[in-house]
Amino acid sequence: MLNNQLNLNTEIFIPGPEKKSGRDSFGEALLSLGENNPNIVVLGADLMESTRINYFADKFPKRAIQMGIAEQNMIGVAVGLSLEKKIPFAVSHAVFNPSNNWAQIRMGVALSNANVKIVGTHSGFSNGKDGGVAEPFEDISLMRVLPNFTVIEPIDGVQVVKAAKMSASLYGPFYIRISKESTPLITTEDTPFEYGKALVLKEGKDITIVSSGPITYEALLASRELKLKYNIEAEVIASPFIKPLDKETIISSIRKTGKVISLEEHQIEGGLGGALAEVIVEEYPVRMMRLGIKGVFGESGSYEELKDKYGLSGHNIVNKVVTFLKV
Amino acid sequence: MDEKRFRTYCITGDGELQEGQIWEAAMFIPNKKINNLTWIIDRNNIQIDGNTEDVMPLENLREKLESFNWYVIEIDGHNIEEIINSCNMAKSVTQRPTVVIAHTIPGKGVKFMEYKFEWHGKPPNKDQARESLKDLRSLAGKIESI
Repeated sequence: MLNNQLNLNTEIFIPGPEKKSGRDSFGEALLSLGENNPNIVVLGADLMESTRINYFADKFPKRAIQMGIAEQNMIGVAVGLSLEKKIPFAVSHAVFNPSNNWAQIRMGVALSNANVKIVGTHSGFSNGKDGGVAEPFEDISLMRVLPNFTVIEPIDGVQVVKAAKMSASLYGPFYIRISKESTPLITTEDTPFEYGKALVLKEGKDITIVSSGPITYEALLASRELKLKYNIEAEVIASPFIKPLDKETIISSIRKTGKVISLEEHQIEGGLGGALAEVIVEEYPVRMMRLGIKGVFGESGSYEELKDKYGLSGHNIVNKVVTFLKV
Repeated sequence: MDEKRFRTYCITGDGELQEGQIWEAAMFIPNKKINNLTWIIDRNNIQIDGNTEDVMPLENLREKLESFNWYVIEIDGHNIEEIINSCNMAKSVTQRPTVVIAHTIPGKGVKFMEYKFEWHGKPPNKDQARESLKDLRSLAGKIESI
């Protein structure tokens, strides 16, 4: 059963759950932020429509800057704007931003603790139709290592809106990773979204699954099937905050279950799995399995096809959990 | 964006003009008509690995910048009057951003350092420092110094 303290979407397991694309939610959130705060400015790099920042740019053309395909200069200009008390959102596909401009982010944003918000869209498999070259599986690792940054991967469109608003209201560098795909709305307006806090979506005693991003839905599907078919009770924790990681919630769950799995649409090295492993080894070592992309690039395919092929669909997770628990 | 009327000065070296980011900005600034910006380039022709024209040539720098729609002024970067004049002239150019290519001699005033790229990124030792200061304070032996 879903945690009834969190006001989650109770219709999540009904076939054809309500879905929304992260980028659409983000575009709407940014527009609403812009209406309420004249200091919000937006920078795009030839992907303004694709990232939905055109919603903002159409309404506030003077506060939106088309940089052209120049992600490095985009960060330079964003830092300059932040020094003038603006709150710049530098937005492009996560496969370019951050990566083409990581040195500028490191030096200009992180080192000077500038109030710049970096948003990478089309995360993970969500750009699958454009093939391996366009599927970012490395961005969280790149951003998690930078001092001063907060790194968030919302689990659904509702959290995207909350993350965008939070980043605008708190001083400091943020990286927000957003999906292009329409994915199930797991949370609602009334679900808590606190800085650095994870959510126990579903309680269980046999194993803990920690997940970030929309792939969290697959963890929920897996936990339901594990209970129905195998009487295994998996606790599902959504951890949109990869940095800072909610050690308290995660460790207290692992103390109970004694086993943990990480799940992410990202390389397991340095991503959520890496972050979790670091914490667990230091604080409470238990057996761990990391699910995610394992040292390969993606390929062309639909979101559903790729999730399945790379072993991150609910039924794949079920099989892996069963095997893991047998050992 | 706020239509503030200040003037921005940006000072760069020349070796770093080999970076892609510089040309992203060089394209961006004239395109967005940021004409209240003056860019000063210290054109000393050296970088860590050698002379710029040996490592990765920048010439014809003037033509490159003009073709990016900058107003280009070239000066003797050691002449204070020329520096002031060029900055004043830049203020009167309202149709385009201005770039001042300030030609300089690296290590100027210290005989054993002048024109030598080897001194781009290292400090002199104590004896060399003493000799350098003597050179600088006597204008390379032309005047008596204390």
